[in-house]
Amino acid sequence: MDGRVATLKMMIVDDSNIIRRRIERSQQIDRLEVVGSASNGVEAVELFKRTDPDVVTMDLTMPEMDGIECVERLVALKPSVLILVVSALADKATAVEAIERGANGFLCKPFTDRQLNGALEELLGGR
Amino acid sequence: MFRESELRIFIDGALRVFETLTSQAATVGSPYLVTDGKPGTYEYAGVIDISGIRKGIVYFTAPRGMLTVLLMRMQETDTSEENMRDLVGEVANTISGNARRDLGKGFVISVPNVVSNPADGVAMPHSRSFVIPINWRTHAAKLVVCLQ
Amino acid sequence: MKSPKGTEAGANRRVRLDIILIVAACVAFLGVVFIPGLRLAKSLSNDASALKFVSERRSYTLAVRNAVETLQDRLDSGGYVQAPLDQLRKAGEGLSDAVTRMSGAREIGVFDTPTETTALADPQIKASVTALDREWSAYRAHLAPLVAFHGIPFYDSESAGTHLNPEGRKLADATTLALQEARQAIPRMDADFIAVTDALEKSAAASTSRLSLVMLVGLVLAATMVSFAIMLQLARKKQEEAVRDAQAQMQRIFATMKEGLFLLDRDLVIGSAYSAATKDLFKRDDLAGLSFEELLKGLVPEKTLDTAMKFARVLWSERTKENLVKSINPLGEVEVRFQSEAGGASTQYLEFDFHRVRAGDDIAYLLVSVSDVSARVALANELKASQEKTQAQIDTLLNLLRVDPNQLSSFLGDSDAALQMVNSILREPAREEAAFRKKVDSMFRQIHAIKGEAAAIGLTTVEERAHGFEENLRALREKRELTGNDFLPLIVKLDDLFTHMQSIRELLGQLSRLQEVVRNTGRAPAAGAKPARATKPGAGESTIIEPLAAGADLAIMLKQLAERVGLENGKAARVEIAGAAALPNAYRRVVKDIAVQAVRNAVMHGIEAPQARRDAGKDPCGVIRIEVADQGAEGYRLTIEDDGQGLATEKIIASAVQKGLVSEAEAATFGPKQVMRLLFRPGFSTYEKATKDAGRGVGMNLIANLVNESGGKIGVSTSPGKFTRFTINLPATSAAGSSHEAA
Repeated sequence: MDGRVATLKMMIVDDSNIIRRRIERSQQIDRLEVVGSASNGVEAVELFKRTDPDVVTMDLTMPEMDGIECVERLVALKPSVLILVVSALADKATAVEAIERGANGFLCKPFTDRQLNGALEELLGGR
Repeated sequence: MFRESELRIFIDGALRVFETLTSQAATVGSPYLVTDGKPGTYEYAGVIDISGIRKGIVYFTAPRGMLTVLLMRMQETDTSEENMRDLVGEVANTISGNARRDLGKGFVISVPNVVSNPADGVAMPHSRSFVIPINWRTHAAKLVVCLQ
Repeated sequence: MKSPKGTEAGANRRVRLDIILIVAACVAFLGVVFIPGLRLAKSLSNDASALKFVSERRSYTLAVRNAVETLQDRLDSGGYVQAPLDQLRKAGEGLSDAVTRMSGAREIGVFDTPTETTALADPQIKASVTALDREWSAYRAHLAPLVAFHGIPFYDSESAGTHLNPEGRKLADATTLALQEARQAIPRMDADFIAVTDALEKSAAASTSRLSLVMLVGLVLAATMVSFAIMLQLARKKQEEAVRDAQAQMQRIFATMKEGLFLLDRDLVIGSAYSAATKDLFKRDDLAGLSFEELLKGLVPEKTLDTAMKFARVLWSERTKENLVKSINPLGEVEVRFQSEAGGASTQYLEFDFHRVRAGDDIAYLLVSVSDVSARVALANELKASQEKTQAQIDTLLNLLRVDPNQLSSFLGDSDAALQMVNSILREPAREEAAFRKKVDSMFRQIHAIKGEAAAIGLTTVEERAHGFEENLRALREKRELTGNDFLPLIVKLDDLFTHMQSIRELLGQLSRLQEVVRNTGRAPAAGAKPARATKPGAGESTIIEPLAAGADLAIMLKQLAERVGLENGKAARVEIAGAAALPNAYRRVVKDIAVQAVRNAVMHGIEAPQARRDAGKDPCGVIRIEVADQGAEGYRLTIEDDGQGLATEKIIASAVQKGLVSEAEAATFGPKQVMRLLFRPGFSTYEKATKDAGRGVGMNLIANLVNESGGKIGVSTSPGKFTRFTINLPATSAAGSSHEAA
């Protein structure tokens, strides 16, 4: 790991085990370290409080608590958190709403490794 | 593939005119295909051009006799050429209005053009058309749908 | 693109900088030139007046000495002393006053001290003045008796003449002493005066030279400021030109670009500058000041509008990563409906793109570009349609490759005739329910035949379509009331079948041309193959669709049918056919239709599953025997027999009762013949599940109809566990003779 750049902690939220593993495996941003993954909104909020991540990838359609509500909770807990919504683009209105509640960007499922890393780079921007 | 629902949109438009103008419903006769590009016309025809996803024409054609009775049912005693054309135009207008409302996506629908006594029928863009006879009282008109 | 706002902000910054520079220059001018200049001028004027004052007063020293000298002369000569004494007093007072005033100078404030003394603050001058004061004070003491003298110093008598009286003598002594002292004191005082004037002159000279330096600096500064002002003016002019150019360019771009382009402010209100195309795209002129919501209202569905407004708003939030939300732009490709004044509507596809425009670090505007993508969408749709068509064609093609060309050719001819027949059935005018019902039955037979044949030669794409048509007809059969409305799906399906057949014909044509090319290049590669087009069309076709020996195509078709149906049902069956060549052309079609139904029925219902056959001690592969026998004047006998499980009368009765074809009581009275007749009733089937191959109970009914239409007779014999045999007698036909001979 590069000592000059501070490591950013990342959390993956998705109800699909396959997608969670896929994101973890595919992300190749050096300064991102995956600190945990959750399969629903409730779990995500709990894990967020424990691990205090800087970056979150968020699915929208999940059991227990959906992504939109989860986004809102996480932003309330930590306004500086960067949230990338990773979801199938069934409904643009839902995606826009997630952004409205404080998510920073959107990545459409299915995605390639390149798209995922491109979106994460874009998300981190100046940080 | 052409869908029945699309066909129905045009037919509903035509049927509605009869229903609203005369409060006596028209019925659909046995529909068929014409493959030689000559679906035929009666004395008057209101033609709608359609472009966009599908291209072609839809026309409603009716004989003088039917139109005369229709006008009479509407308490209109003036059965001049002008009024005949107006009536056919009205039917075509309702059909195109219906189509605009229901087809929407990707269709561009023209304002109807009325022709009377077309010598060679109406110019058809394709050889195959759907012909839907419209029966009203003892009279028969038809709706021709020629779309690709 | 460079934003107009950005340029503006830059210009503002530059103007602010200009003002700062000008103020700074003014302060510098004040500090470096004006105030010191004023000060120097003041000091110069002070020096000048001081010099004048000092030069004037210097003469008093001489006046004092002259007065003393004159006094002595007068005393010696007994002259009149009053005048020199007055002169001495006046000069003395003048000198005293000068010294007092010169030494009275204090540390000076520039503006609040008497002018003549201000210049004398110089330490050198002060020293001289102090010396002067001292010397004058000392010398004035010698003058005091002189000044104090009043009266006449002489005795004045005729006899004695004039001589000094005692006071006169004292005066004379004092005068002598004063004169004596004056020889030292006066030059010294004079020198002091000279030192003061010299110093003053020097100070004035210094002030003058300093003033000229200040003037020079001022000149330079002024020149600098003037040139700066000129430069500024030039720069501003250039900048204005640049802005004008940029605006003109913008106007040109806005006027000529095809894209709609406008700016949205934070309240999502459209700015005053927008491209000409924007007006055309939205068909309105009142864009400036219009809210984005107003612009879209009525053009897009309520929900899209709502999402679009939210989207535009989130773009103002710095949290939102512009590039990461492009994919969820709800106006990315949106269908808009414009209501025209005439009442018509037109539909277009517009693509909105949003870009943030920043001024410094802040988002100043959203630049919205809009383009009409109707053509692109239409093209994409066409492409999709043509891809689907291509896919369907490929499927059909692959299907065709498995089909025997001869069978295909005859199938195409037969089915086209059948479809035309269906269409003419439809075309018969009908208003009454009975007329419609009759049509359903007539069409059913035609379509069912097409389906059977298509299945027989393995043309699944046609078979599926015909099956769909048949299902539709079946539904109509059961429907209580029939009108033309119910027939609408039929013409759509008929159209599809026609189109599909047409595409098969086209594909077949392409295949035959392809084969021609392949054959020609293969046969005469050296001789230089003639272009495919040059070959005689008949030659190519004949190899593909070459008539086989009569009946051979039927045999192949039936064998394939049995194989396929067997495969799909987990059964094995082979067809053995004999005497088909004896069949006249007139019966070819009807026998084929009958055989197709019969073979299918045999495989579905007659032949057992392989294990069951083995258990019964039979060959796992069932056999269906078809035999055509020419019986001369008796006509032809067609026998179709399978070695399956046979027909169980109880099963037939149970099924017929269940279908409601007969009542249980009625069935109980039936003899074996009557039971067998049930098989041929419409709607009978013993197979539980409906598939496209059997189960609709139409197969046997169709056979019966076909036989009836030909004026023939049909008989059934069966033995449970052994066989089922259909015997069909067809009458001799006049046409039969000729074709019989030909065969």
